[in-house]
Amino acid sequence: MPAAAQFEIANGTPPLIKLCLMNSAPGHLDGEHSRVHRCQQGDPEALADLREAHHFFLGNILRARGASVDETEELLADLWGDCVPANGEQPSLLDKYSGKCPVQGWLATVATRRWIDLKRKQTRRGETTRPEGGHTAMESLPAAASPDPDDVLVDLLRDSLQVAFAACPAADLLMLRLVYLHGLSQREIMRMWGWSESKVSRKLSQAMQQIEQDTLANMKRKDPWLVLAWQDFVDLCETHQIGFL
Amino acid sequence: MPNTFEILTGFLSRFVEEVEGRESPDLPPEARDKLRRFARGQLPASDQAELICQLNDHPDWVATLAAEARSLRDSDGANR
Repeated sequence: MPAAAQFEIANGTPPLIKLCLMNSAPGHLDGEHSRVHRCQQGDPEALADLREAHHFFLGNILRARGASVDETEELLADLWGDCVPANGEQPSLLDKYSGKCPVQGWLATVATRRWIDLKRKQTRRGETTRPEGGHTAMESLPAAASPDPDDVLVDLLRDSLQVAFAACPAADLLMLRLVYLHGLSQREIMRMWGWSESKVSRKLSQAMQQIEQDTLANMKRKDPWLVLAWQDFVDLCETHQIGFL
Repeated sequence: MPNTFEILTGFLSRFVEEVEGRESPDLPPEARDKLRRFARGQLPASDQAELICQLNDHPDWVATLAAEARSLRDSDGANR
């Protein structure tokens, strides 16, 4: 039996979960990289182990982000299938894994962007449907190139965040930069602006909250079916920043 | 461990453009003077607003402003 056929599909209602950068202790990562390497070679045992270790988590992540049970099953079946190299014709999806972040976070990001890509295609199909005619306008259109699924998630994160940053008052953004990027203390900010320490603290907190709210609202406007908590959003940004592919 | 704002700006700088520059070598003397006074809390509010607009257009000046503020740490104990 091919390794991909041994994979089962997760089911059930997910608990509230949070994607975090998992255990990244050197020893843990060494073992993980070794397993991924064996998967890339097509080792069925390693592939089954990988699926066993991460399938439930990935199912929960997709469900928590708004995917239905059927969509989750479909996405994960494809994901695990793509992890299996096809006799030199098609490399394993895992060949794209750089090893710079834990494989679980990487797989969750791949699954999420595939889910976004799938939903957008469904939405586009829905928008071009003409029920009264019994056929869709899509059928009469020339085939258009789909956007690269690798870019779908980056585009969403970037666009949502950019708009939020642009809406943030320049003084607030400057204060955030000075404190969180250049390491100035709140007392130093207090002196510069001539404010009290509590006012500086409040302003920093409000500015971050505003960026959070605006970013999530921008994302919701673009993809209303996507459920992403703020920490998920930040974790996805971090996964990409540290060298996703 | 990076803070949330650092992660977000790091992401944007990777996928958009440079959002946080290095200290600018060709900073106009007048701007440098304003940054110095701002760091010391000696810039009037009206000038602050103007300078902040300029900083928004020149994110590379922010590093200079931060360096000016840090340079005062030993001299006046602002960070103690």
